[in-house]
Formats: sequence, C-alpha cells, structure tokens
Amino acid sequence: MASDGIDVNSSSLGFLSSDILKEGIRPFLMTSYVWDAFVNGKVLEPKTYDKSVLTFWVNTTLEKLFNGMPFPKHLDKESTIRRIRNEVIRELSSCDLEKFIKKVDPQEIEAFINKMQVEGETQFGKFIEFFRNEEFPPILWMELQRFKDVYLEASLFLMERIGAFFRRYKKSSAHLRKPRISRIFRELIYSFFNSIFNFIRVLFFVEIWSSKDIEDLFKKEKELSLKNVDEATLEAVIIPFHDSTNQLIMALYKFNKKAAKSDFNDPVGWALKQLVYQAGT
Amino acid sequence: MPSNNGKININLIKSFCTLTPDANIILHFIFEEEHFKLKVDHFLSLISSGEIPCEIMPGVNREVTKRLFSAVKTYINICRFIKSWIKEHIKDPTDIIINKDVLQFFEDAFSDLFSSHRRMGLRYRDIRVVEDALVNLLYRDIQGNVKISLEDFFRKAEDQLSKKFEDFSYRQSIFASKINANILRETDILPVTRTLETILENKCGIRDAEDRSQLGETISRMYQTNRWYGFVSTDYTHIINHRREIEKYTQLIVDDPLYILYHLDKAVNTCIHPRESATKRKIPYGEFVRFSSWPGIV
Repeated sequence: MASDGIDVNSSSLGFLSSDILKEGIRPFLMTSYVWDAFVNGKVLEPKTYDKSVLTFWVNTTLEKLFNGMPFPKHLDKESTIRRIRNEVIRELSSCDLEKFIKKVDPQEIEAFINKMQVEGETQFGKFIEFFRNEEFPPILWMELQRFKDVYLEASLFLMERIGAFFRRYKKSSAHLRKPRISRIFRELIYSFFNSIFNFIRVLFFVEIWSSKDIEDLFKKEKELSLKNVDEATLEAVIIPFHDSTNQLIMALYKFNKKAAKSDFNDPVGWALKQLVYQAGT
Repeated sequence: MPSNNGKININLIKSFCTLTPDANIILHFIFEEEHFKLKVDHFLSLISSGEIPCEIMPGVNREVTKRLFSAVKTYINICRFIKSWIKEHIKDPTDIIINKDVLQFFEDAFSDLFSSHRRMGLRYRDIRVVEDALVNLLYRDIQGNVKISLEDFFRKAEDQLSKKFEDFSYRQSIFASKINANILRETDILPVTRTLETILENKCGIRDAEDRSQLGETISRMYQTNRWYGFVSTDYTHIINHRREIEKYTQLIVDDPLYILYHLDKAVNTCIHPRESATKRKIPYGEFVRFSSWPGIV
C-alpha cells in the first residue's frame, strides 16, 4: 500500500514505518501535543521526550495494547511482544529527540499541526480505501471511517482550545500557563487518547494477523489480509475500538449537543433496522 | 418509612436504586420506534427528572454492537454476492451503466441466491430485506435517470450503509449520554456462578442464554453494590412475563418502563438493602456471585 503522508520514511523509524503503522503516527503525535499543552502547560516540553520517560511509556503502552489481544497460533505472544518492544525502544534511542525539539520553531507548531490535520484527512481517506476490499471484514473500513470523522472533529475542537490558550497567554507561544481543566474536559482528553490507543491497537492487530511468522511481522512490505480471522477473534479488538469511538462522541456531545436525528426509513436505513432486529432471532 | 403522600419517592430511589436498560430500549431509541416512543420517552424522563443513576451492563452494550456488526456483514456479503454473480453471468459491473435491464440481472441473481442461501450461511428473510433495499435504490436511480456504472451503484449502496452505521453508532452514544449512564466493562462485574444461571433458567424460565447472562450481570452488580436494581425492558415474551419469578428467586426488579419506579419504590420502602433483604428472605445470594474474587467482600 502506498502512503505519502507526513515524512516518516526516515530509516531510523524502521519497523514503525511499515505502511500500515505509519498511519497511526499522526494521531499519536496529536496525543503528545495535547498532553504537553493541557497537562504540562507547554508545548514540546523536553521532559515529555526524555528517553527514560519514553521507554517507560513504551513498556506500559505496549503491555496495555496487547492485553486481551488474541494472537495467531504461529506467533508466540510473549516473545513477539518482547521483540516489538525492543524494536520500538531501539528506534527511539537512535533518534536525537532533544535536537529535534530544539530545531522546531514553536511559533509554527500550530500551523504545522493544522497542516498535518488537513493532509491527514486526505491521507486517511486513502488509507480507509485500502481496507475496502474482500481481504478485510467490511466492519473494519466502516469503523475506520467513523473513527476518522470523530477523531478529526475532536482534534479540531482541541486545537481550537489550544489556540485560544496561545492567544490568551502570548508571552511566548511555546510557554503556556498550565490551563485549568474541568472534569468534562479531562474526560474528553482521556477519551481522545483512548480512541487513538484503540485505533493503533487495530493497526497492530492487522499487522500481526497478516504475518506468516515473526520475521514477516517486521517486514515493511507484506500482503495484508484478515480473511482467515474468525469473528470472535476480530471482535476482541473491534468492539473495544467501536466503544472507544462512542466514548469520544459522548465526551464531545457534552460540549456540542448536536441533534441526534437520523433517518432509518429510506431503503438502506430501513434494511439496516430490519437486519439489526433480525440478528438476534 | 414515612409515606410520601401517595407519590413515588424519587429521592429515595435516587439514593438507593440504579436503573439499567435492556438492549431493546436502546434499539427503540436508536431507531426512534413510533410504537415504543412513549415508553422510551417515559424512561428518559424518569432518569433525567429524578437524576436516577443509570448503568449499561456490558452484555447489553455488547449485544447492541454485535447486532449492528452482524447486520453490516449480512448486507455487504449479499451485495458482494450479487455483484460477483453479475460479473460471472452477465459482464463486469464496471462496464454496465444502470438501466431498466439491470432489474432483470438482480432478479436472476437473487433467485440464485435464494436457492443456495443455506450453503452460504445466509437467512432467507435477511436476503429479502437486502433485496428490497437494493432494488428500491436501483429503481430510484433508473427512474431518476442517474447515469452511473453498476460498480458505482454498489459502491453507493455501501456508502449509504456506512452513513447509517455512523448514525446508528452516534445515537447509541447519545442514548448513554442522555441518561448519563455508566457503561460498565466486564471487569466491573463479579463473575456469576452456575447456580444463578440454573435458577434463572429452571426456576425463572429464562430460556435465552444471552438474556440470562445480562440478567446475571445485573444481579451480580446489585449484590456487589448493595443497591436495588431495576432492569428496564419492553420484551414481555422473554423477560417481563417472568418478572415475578425473577424477583422471587433473586430480588432483581424487572419491568416495563411504565411500572419500574413503582416496584423500586416498594423495594426502598422496606428500608433494607438487597443483601440484608436477601438474608431475611432466605435467598442464598452468596451462591449467586463469586464474591471471593473481590477483596472488598467476604
């Protein structure tokens, strides 16, 4: 699958630059940006990118990410996770993050993120298109499509808030006063992170179940398919993904109570309704 | 307990009870079912007016989502079958511009599917539903003089489903928001024992395993939190008609939204919590749930 989004083709990114996981990087970068702005009250806070912090983060995140995720019989779960963790940590160690942070002009971060969002929308569309064939269950592209819409709405909302902080405390765009976060806003940030986490979990799932063996998993190019994955196995990741997107909708709804009207009387809506009712009988 | 001038004591219910909806309440809300509108609205107003705590059981949430997934899978599989049948027996759908003759292709493709549906793991009535929708869409496009290829027509049919999928999920989330519900995870519920499942099946007459599992989760939660729980449903056949037995053997209150508060009011007016009440009524609640897996309770 070709992907020409943000430039993550650096050789140091190795495993993470596999075409499918690359799409997870953009949302992932948003989490550290939002985290820095709202939790640290700064953007590009060096302590967020400290190697020991990142290593700790990788360990705990991967543990949570693979918890409850079914693995194919031909891959040993424990050793595969160990190998993934080592690869990620090795790659992080080879990047000079401090140098990278110093190089970025904080004044341009907002513009950069906005540009990334616009590019992301197109890229994401292409990415979803890739899953729209018989190699993948149809629910996958529909969930990804839905995630895209909700994720973009949420990140736009968060970016507006961060922008407002920038404007209010414009002593230096890189140094915000630590904002006070309300309970519902905290819920929104948590749901935002959780939905991205579940999105990345789905990407790992596709990679893992498409790999013939452990070496195949670390190849950048391979045939991706979930044709041989049974329903129960898929549900172990797709239901939490569905729930996490719903949770994000609920958190956004507290700020923007959009009308929940919808029409299930047109032919397709009617069919969906009948099939849902008939599904349990 | 002082009487409340013949009124239901909402404040007491708010303090000592939790409501939990069945999947059919959520589905009626999502689809805005005219037939159940009054019941669903009544349920929503009960919660919002009294701020009664509400929880959605993991099994109920899972059932709603799994029904949606199953519906999507059926619809797309049928679309894909029809498309590949036309490709095999007529010509590539990319090379066909839709017109009235396509109706004949659909009729033939569907009749072939009806004769082989069991082999493909599809149900007759599901195929009928998708046929109704697709032919309706096709007819509208033909009569509306829409000039697209048959390939694009199928894509459009999938896109429309994707839109409905989003609408469904949006309303699923909004339902939880409107009742300010806590959506529980499996880990929030103490495991239910075989004893409780047997009681629900043999003494309460709950034949469906999924219904038993959801009622079991609610009973577990009731004894775990020691609050009275009201399981709200519109399913008389499988659930509500068995409400007396369920209450007798487990103390769980199960009813239609119209009557649920009346029964919860009766429960709170006993002035005792579910565990104490169970002990008094010699209901062996300790055998229903694996309390040992929860350090808070011995």
